[in-house]
Amino acid sequence: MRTPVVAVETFGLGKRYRRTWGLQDCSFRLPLGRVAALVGPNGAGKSTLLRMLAGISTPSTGEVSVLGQSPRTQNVELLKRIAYLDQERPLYKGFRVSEMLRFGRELNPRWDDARASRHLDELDISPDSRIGKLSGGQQAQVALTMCLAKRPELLLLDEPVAALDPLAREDLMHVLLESVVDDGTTVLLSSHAVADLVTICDYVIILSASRVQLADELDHVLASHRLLVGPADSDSIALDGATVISSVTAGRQRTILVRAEEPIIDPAWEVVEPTLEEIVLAYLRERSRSGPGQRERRADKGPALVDSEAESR
Amino acid sequence: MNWVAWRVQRPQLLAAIGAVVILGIWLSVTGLAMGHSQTWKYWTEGDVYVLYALPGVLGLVLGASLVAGEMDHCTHRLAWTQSVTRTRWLAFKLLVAGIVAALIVAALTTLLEWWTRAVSLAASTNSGGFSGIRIQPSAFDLTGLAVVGYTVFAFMLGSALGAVIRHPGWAFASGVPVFVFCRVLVQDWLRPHLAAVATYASLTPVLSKVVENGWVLNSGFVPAGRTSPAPGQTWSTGPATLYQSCANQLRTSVGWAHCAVVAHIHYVFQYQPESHYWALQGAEMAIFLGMALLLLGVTVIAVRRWTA
Repeated sequence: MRTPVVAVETFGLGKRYRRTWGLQDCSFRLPLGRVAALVGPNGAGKSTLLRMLAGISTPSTGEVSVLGQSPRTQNVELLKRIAYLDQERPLYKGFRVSEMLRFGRELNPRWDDARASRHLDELDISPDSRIGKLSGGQQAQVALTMCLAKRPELLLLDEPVAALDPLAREDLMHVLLESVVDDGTTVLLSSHAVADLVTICDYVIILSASRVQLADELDHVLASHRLLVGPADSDSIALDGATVISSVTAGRQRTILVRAEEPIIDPAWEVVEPTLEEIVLAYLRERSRSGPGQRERRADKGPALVDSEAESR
Repeated sequence: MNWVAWRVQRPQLLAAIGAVVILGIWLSVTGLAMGHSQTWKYWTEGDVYVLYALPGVLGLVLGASLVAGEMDHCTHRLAWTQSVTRTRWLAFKLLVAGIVAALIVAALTTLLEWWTRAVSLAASTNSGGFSGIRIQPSAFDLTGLAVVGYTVFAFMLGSALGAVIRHPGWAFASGVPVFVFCRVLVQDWLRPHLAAVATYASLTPVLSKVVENGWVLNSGFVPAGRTSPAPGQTWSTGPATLYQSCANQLRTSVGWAHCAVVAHIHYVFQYQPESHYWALQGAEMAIFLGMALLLLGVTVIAVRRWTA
């Protein structure tokens, strides 16, 4: 078995449900050791992608490689090395916490019982509690503990903090981050709340309308995008090597988000460094809108974005 | 893994064991009472049907919740992303629940065996079709090996439908008519021919002891020298009318045999004798286990191919 340099690699990956595509032509590469955020609106295909990586869903088209192996079949060797948290956070509600841990111990050779117990102890979750009686935040913590105790090399988390209150969110992210730093685990976590991710992620994959819009290192994403603010009547400016991602006109002001490797110097525009949230929103806005002004730019944007991942290497 | 399979299925298995224990106590009490008084009471015809339905209901409930119950709560996504294959996961679940179900039914059928014998004398009066003669369907379906076959079949039927439909309630609901259909089909069309049919002929329609303790499949007047109706006739038509007109003229039982001789006919019973009990039980169990095996294949394929 060759040692993989990438944690996840997909090429033209697609999933077709009866009549619609859950995910289409998805190609990206996630290097080892990254904490990657998979962002996109509801229905963008985030869960579909993660399920295919975890081997509980079969791709309709394309290639997928996880830690150098195929997750398509019941690949136990791969299952031992990854952990997956479904967005439903499934647990056996009638089990006690200790029984849930025994479930993990019996089904996983690499199970770290001491680690699981320590985690839950720190969180004040008693081993005698019934899972169904725990709060939503505590259930999420138990579900995450089930994943971490597998000592995975790749952790796939589908909306791990959705529907949790802000405090529970922060607690969960804290536990996650701590363990990930300890082990150097690669993490791919999906969310539609971008604000939570900036502090913990160093890689971004933007998924929208069933396609990958962007997959790149966070630093490079932030460095290569600029927000241009100028008057609404300013003409299409000459931006060499810059790709317009989105353009919003509000009153007399026009805001354009562009992707450019070179610094932009143009007296007509005020150049601002965007936040990750602004960048993500720009990509999502552009995809979801079908106004006549935006449509024409789609054609040249598509291929440029797929290339962005190659440029960053 | 055994523990996991047991723990996940524990509520259903304990409920099944509890229900059967309660029924067992009721059977013991009524069996002793009816055996003692030799009169049929406590059980109406409808109540006896509960006993016939039990293997099917038990098997379907355990089977339908086995795979579909997990899908209903999404826990299959948890189980299938641990470090075991789906096939292994399924094998342990089927084995643990299947063994418990088989043990429950084995205990129950032993009790029913005793109960059937204990109440067989009482059963002759007012027992709503329950005869207590074990080769006859009313007792055959409650005793011996066939019951185990029914239960295993119902269990695999529930599992397969659950894995395909992915909803325990619908799996159970669709399993009931399929189970009833298969049971009726085997009982009415296959079972009579699973062992060589015996015949008993006499000049008058009088049950002999050997026929009385057997399972009568057909009976009626047929031409002398035949053991079945002549071509173009059925058991209830043809020679019977000849005999009837002759007997009506005589108006007395003396000489009825003479009528048969004159009309050149005799009365034939086609039946399965009591001695064929174990042969039929074994064959019937084999049929249901065979169908269960096919359904096992369906379940394995459905689980392995399952995709979100």
